[in-house]
Parts: sequence; structure tokens; C-alpha cells
Amino acid sequence: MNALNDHLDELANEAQNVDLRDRVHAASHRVTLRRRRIVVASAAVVAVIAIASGVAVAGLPSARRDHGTPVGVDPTGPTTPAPPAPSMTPPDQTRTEAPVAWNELPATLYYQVTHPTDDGLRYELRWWAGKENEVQFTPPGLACGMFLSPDQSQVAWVAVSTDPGATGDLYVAGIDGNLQRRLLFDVTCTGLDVPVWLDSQTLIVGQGDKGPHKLIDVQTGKAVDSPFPEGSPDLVSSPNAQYAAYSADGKIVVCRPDGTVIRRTAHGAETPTGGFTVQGISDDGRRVVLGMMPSDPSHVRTGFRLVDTVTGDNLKLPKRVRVGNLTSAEIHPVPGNQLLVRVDEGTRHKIYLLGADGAILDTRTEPGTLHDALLLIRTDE
Amino acid sequence: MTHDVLSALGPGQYRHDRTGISRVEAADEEFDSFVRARTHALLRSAYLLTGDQQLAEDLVQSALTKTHLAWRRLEDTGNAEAYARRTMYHLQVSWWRRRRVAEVLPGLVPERAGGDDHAGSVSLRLALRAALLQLSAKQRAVLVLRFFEDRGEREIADLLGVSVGTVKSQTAKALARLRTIAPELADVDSRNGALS
Repeated sequence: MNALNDHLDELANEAQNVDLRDRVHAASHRVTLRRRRIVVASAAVVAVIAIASGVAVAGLPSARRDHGTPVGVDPTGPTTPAPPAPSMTPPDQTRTEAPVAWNELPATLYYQVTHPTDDGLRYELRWWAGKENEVQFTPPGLACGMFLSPDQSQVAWVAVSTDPGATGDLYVAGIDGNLQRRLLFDVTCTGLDVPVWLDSQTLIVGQGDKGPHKLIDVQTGKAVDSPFPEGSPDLVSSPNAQYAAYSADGKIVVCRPDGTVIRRTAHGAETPTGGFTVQGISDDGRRVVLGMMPSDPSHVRTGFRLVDTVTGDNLKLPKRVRVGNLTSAEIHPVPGNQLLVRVDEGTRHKIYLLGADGAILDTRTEPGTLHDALLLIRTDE
Repeated sequence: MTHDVLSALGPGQYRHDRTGISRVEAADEEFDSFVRARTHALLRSAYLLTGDQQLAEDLVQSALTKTHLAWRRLEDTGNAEAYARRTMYHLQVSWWRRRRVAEVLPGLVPERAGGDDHAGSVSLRLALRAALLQLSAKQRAVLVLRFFEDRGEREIADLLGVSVGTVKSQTAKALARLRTIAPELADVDSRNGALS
């Protein structure tokens, strides 16, 4: 070994060892997100060009629009007949402003807190940010659940007069309770059959005892028949509103927002209450979250089992998500094929944000005062 | 509910390789092990390249980040450290990082070696660090690879993406510059033949 080697070795000893793992993972995640945004932006540009090209072709005098397969419809598509299309335009499938994948958990999260009273159930909407959690809004009177729009700008609830009230009036208000509007009467609110936001403009609700489901435009109040088959009260929509899913005859049904079925997946594993319900679907329409089958009028709005609808396999959460009891972990699809997992740790919950590749992107521990509250997950960012 | 539903299904019903989740988790654990085991070695080289602890950490972090992004491709070949080192040297040679070093450590000129051995050793170390920082990034990289990592000229050429001739010329220029910048190093090393 020569002298320069010795001196360099001695100088290198000044370097202190540090643990760079967290910094590397965070940096790697930032790069991944940047790449993903570039891909999304590129896809948007392609979509815009494609739409513009379509408009140009449609404008040509020789364009034949009265024959053949409509543009955008797959002639080899599913054989399951779709119900007649509703007169109201279903959720826009061509929108390009898909919610962006989260870098971290949202700074503010919203919760439904239930207060049993002698008359029935009363609810409040609470927000939690940092060390604070306070009441955001309390619907007047008895209610049956609160439902936060994906863009968290509006909240819907069903006002009931009795407990348990199977039906009631559907109200929508701003997140702070302002501009309350009654949209529909005799709306079903029991078990799984509760109002569901298909996107931030559209609610799907049942009306009357076993009445047909309706799509409600919350801006205009206009109601049209649902494109989804009756008997699928556990309908859910993906965060990007491009896919919907429900259960039917022991199968998981994945479809488009217009009701067109994409695939049906057999799933034999039951939950402890028998059967299963669909509680969430990912942005790519591939993974669904399954939950319990309600055995009484109480609501089931969370799921704990992740299933690949292509293979039918159960998917396991990463080991680093410490789940003592798998049914105690609520799984919520969030934008970008990511998952939010809320794990019950006994006196409080820990929340994990999982990237599309299963990596843990962020964690947060809820205050114990929110242990019994229902996390109302927002999906738009 | 306390029933462990998924566990009751049995492990044979899970085929995680299709989902990617478990595979990704295993890959992350392997990467974490790699980072734990090799960070210090990388930091030592990075410190010689940058002359500063924080810059060395930044450099290694950047190299490891790129390694992480390429991990699935690298883990089968076992070339993760080679990839990380190659990335580190390439990053160091990039112009912006050279400028940062220059901005952070302007004109660090050591005193000449003192009388006793310990003081002389410290002084020589300071002299070497200051002298290294006055070399070009490529000259510094060549010296560190040649005399600290004991790599051959062909290997250095491959790693830096230059010709063997360039490695030879850059090494000669770097040593000549060291003799000029820090004659005390030449005094010492001439006794041992390294810089002579």
C-alpha cells in the first residue's frame, strides 16, 4: 500500500456513518411520483389529441354516423346485457382530470361520529388535522349516516323520523353545513342500501321499500333510473370514477359507470357473517375491497379483504402494516391505485398510505377520541 | 369481530407473486439490508470525492435512490453495489455538483505539517483534503478509484465511461497537481514513492 492510499484511507475515516434508508425511500418515492405525473400528463395529451381527432373526423361530410359500431364501444365486449341507458348522462368517462396519486396522507381527514340518544341516532361530522379535531357540522334531528363527496366539498345524509328509520329525506349541504337542500324523499337507508357517491356530482340512492335506484344529480336534483341492476346495494365507485363494482350471486361484478359489465369474478371465501359485500374498487378496476354482509339494519361501510378480480386471489397487505387481526384493518382505495389502511390498535387507529407497488408512503396515528368514529375517506385531491 | 378470516384460508391460497405486493415487500427488505451494509463504505468514497459530510450524504443518497429505482433489475444480477458506485461517480462528475462543492468549501488551505507525528498527520490530512478539492471532479474521481479503491486502469475507464488513455493522463495530471498544490504531500510521499 502506498502512502497516498494510506492518507486517503485516513481521510475517509472522517466520514461518519448514517442511516440513509428513510431519505432514500422518500427520494425514490418522489421520483416515482414525478415519473407517474409525466405519464398521466402524456396520457392526457394523447387523450386530448384523440378527442380532437374524433371531432375532426365526425365533422367531415363523408363521416358515417348512422351505421356500424359507435366509436369507443368494443364490439367484442361483454355479453351481459346492460340495462337501458338512462336519459341523464352517466358519470363522465372521458374526463382527464383524474385525481392525482397522493404523496402523503391528506392533512385533514373527516369522520362520522355517532351519538346514540333516547330518540335515535344523531351524527356529527368531525375534522382532524394535526393535534386538533373538532366538529365541522351536525345535521339537525335524527339522521341515518353521513356521506362525504369524493372532493369533500359536500356531505349528504338521510333525515329520519324514527329509529331505526328505513327511509327518510335525502339532504345535501356544503361541507360546513351551509346551503342545505332536500333532494329526494323516501330514500332508503338501511344495511348496505345507503346513498353512495358515484362521483362528486352524482349520488345513487334507493327510493321507497325495494323501489328502483336512482342517479341523482346533486346540482340540479334531477333523478334518473340507475343503470345498475337492482339487488346490488353494495355498489361502489373507484376514486377516479372510471369503474364501479358490486356483488351478485356470490360473484364480484366489475363494471363501467354506465353499468356495462367488464368481468364477473367468483369468490368463494365468506366473511364471518356469511357471504361478502364489495366496499371499494381501485382506480384500475382490478382490486376490490370486500367487507362483511350485514346481518341487521346497521350499516357496513368498510372492508378488510383485498381481492384481485382478475385472478380471484386474496391479496395480502405488506408485513410492515402491523395488523393483529385482519378484520380490524379497514382498506380504502385512494387515487392512483393506492390504498389507505386504517388499523385498529386497540385504543386508537394507525393509518397507512400504501403506494401502488405496496410500499408504505406515509403513516399517522389517530387520536384516541376518534377510535369509534367512521373515517369518511375522500378520494379526490 | 375477532375471527382471523384470511389466516383461516391457509397460506396455500395466496399467490402473491401475481399481485406484486409481497414481492415488492421482500425486495424492499433486501434493499434495506443492502443500504445498511454498504452505506458506510459508499460514504467513505463519497467523502473523498466531496470533502464534506453533508455533500457525501447527499451524493450517496442520490446514488442509492437511483439504485432503489433499478433494484428489481439489479437484485438478480448481484451488481447493486457496482451500480451504486458507478452512479455515485457519474453524479459527482456532473457539473452542478462540482459547483456546489466549490461553493461550500472555498479556499480551504491547510497549514504546513508541524513538528510532532500526530499534528503532522492531522495537518497532512487537511492538506490532502484541500488539495483534492482543487482538482477537477474527474481527476479526483480517478485518484480515489486508483489509490483508495485500488482499481485497475481498465476498470476505472469502464466505470467512468472514458478511455484507458484518459484515465492515465488524468491520473498523471492529478498527481502533478497534488505535488504543486500540496508540496508537503510530495515531501512525505516521495519517501514512499507514491507521488514521485
